[in-house]
Amino acid sequence: MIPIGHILAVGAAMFCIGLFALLSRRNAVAVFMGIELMLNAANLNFVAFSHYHSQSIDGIVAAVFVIMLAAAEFAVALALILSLYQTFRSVHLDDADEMKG
Amino acid sequence: MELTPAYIGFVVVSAWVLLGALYVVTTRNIVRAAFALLGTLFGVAVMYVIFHADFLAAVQLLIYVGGVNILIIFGVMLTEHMGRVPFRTVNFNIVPAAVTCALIAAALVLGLLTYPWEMHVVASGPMSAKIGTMFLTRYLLPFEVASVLLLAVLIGAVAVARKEVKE
Repeated sequence: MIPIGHILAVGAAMFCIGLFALLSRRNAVAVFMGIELMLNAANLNFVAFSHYHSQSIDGIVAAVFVIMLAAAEFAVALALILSLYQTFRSVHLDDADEMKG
Repeated sequence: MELTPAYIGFVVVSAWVLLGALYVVTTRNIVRAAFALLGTLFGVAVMYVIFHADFLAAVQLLIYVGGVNILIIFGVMLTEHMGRVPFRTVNFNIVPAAVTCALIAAALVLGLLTYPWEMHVVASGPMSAKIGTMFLTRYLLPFEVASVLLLAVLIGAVAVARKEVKE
């Protein structure tokens, strides 16, 4: 039996790697790769809890909803990135500073 | 704790996933990052198989590996400058970002490994039928809201991404 703490630790490490991408990348697409990693880490935790909780598959259902939302989120994100690219000819997030005071 | 085949498999897949994730966030070539993300998400699907989540493993392969990753590669290909060095992406503020993430990871991992979790394993068979029942009984409202959300996303993404036509 795999100890649940180890699974959650892998999820936490993956989450923090995604957070690193979020904090340090400036290319919008690379930032979204970090967000996908974070969502997958959260899903891993849902599945681990569901696996070790008897008589319940709520965690699996939550994970299916997360996957659905992630796909929807990335569709909108891709549209926004394309719109950003048409406006600024760049996906470097620091270039989009029109509203900076 | 004995070394069962499942545990050894879990360790190997974890190492694969974490190394892949690290490559995704540190490589300078964004196309390589996209393909490393593909491998990482595939590793997560293998983990779902280890935890007996058969339906979720299939969904992960279909939607993440097959769908989201293709979208990411589309995003990369549609938005790269052809003039400059292509496909370059770099990390900024590496030290503060790495320190923040390392501290959060250390706190989380320490807490998660020391907390006395309760674990009840039940022999689980195929799970798709149970998930379908849940979607149509207990999670009916979220399920319907999700379908409306997907419709809104479909229309919204087209509306945002299309080019403005000047009259």
